[in-house]
Amino acid sequence: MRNYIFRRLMLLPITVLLLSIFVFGLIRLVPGSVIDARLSAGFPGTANADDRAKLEAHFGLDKPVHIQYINWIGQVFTGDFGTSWLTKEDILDNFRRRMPVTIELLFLTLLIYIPLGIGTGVWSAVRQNRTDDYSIRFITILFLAIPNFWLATLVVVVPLVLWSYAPPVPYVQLWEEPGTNLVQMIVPAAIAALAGAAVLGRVARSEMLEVLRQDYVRTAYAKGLSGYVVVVRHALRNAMIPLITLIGLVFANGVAGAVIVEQIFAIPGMGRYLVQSLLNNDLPVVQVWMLIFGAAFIMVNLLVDLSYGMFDPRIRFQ
Amino acid sequence: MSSAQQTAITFDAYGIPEKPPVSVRMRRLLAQHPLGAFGLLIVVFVVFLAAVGPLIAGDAETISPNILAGPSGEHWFGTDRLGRDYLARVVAGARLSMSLALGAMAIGVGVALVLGMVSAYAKGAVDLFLQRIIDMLLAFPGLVLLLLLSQVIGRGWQSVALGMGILFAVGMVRIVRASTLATLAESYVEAAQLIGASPYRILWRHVLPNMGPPLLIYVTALLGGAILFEGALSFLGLGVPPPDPSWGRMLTEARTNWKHPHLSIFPGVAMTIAVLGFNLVGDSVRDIFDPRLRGA
Repeated sequence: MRNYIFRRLMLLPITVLLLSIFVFGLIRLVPGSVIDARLSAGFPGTANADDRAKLEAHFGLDKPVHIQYINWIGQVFTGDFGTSWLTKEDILDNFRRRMPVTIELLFLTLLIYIPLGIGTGVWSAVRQNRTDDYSIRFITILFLAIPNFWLATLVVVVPLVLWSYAPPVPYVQLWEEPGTNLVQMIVPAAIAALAGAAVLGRVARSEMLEVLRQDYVRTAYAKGLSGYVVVVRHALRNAMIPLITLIGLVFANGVAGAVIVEQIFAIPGMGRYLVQSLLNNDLPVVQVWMLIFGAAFIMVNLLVDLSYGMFDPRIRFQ
Repeated sequence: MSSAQQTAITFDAYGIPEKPPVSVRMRRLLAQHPLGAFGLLIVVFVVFLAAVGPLIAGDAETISPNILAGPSGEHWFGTDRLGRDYLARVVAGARLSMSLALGAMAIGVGVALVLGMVSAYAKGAVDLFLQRIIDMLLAFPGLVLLLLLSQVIGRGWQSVALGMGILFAVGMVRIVRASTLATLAESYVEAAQLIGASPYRILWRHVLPNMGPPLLIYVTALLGGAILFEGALSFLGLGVPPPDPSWGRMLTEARTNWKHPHLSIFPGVAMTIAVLGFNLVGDSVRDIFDPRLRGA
């Protein structure tokens, strides 16, 4: 086990290094050059050889690629994320402002996502092949098919058409007006959570069905424990172990959901920042965004892998 | 088993029950998987619409002065902000969506087969390096990776297909590699190597046919996802550019004309039905080929 953890931790810097090279290299494959994108993003139609040379020197693009990479990665590590091409704002400042917004959204999403997914999954398993099981499974299948961006559009449009109701705009921070902020955030969070909860619910159901067939569950019932105690203390605990593998997926789904709902509900978080930057070819932002979130996804996956042994002592890694 | 049932089964000279004809087995399969059969019905309908629908529903680009009209006898789904028939556009959207989903899947399977088999056959440094890259890419949520790829490849439906193809390949390389490794460990592969079969022959004749079921499960499960990914990308303005009628972009445009709810209802319903059909078929395909996961 210790060896396994050691090996995984040793691989982590290598994976992150690969990630940084990948993100850096990929962005430089953009059709045309980075400078073309810059010229069309900033002042369209003014591209001439003079501007080009000046810009290349300004962004350090006149140096060889590996020098550029080393400069960039050095700056990122010292906390200098560079400036946006579009708004000329400091990217780190933007991250500082937007990250809490997305973290709040993610937190609310998970707060709905996990209980809803596990709750419906467990309920469905306990009531296997009865009406509630069938209804839950039907709704689950349906929610896996409904595009979340369509649902979000309907949630905005329908109240507007029927009751002329619109959620309060513009966005306010949680610490300024907590009530208004929650009204603005809870619907996007719910929409980001729904499809993911459906996936989680399906897996939770099948894991629960597996565990409910075990002898120790029958024993627990036989010695007269209540249904609640058997399901929650005996069955659910064991069903949870495989569900831990899904935490990485839950986090990834949450971020993907945030990208969509922040755009639709005009929430100034990290997801909207990414989409706006992509739409405007704002490459420095895209680059740093992918590096930071990529590293976060890799870390979460690593933690999930390492946590198996902790939750299930039977698992011993070579 | 009752005696009446036993007499119904005929035996040949070797005592092996005769396989019923394909049509009978097909019917039994569909009866055992009613949801899958329902899904298949939807898929067949959507594919039919995609193939011949535009001929029936009319031209999706014809502009009329009758803009933003609600559903009527003349325009069943109403018209959009340029007066184009919305039914024709939704149907044309089915064609785009299907082509992109299937095209992306073909690209994904092709890339994954090559990379996965090379990775498993080469072993050593190549394998380790390729798998580290795949590890890294798998850490990203599909949509985010797709957004990054769209930035690199550019806009347009070919780029969307390529981007989604790469995304699916990332997920499939693992499956191909694992399946290749399992087959290469079989003794019949060793025998083939001993009689001097080339690596190509081994991969083509022995490894590839074993890949069928796992790949089929993965591909059918992902087709619905492909429709959703394309929709999301176009919805964000990073997918298929106008004037091609993409369901995702129609939904974006519907938001600016929110006073005309028919604009946001029809493409959304179409998309949900198509994804539902593919998901149901995918679930049944998985049940049939991988009974361990039944009911999951």
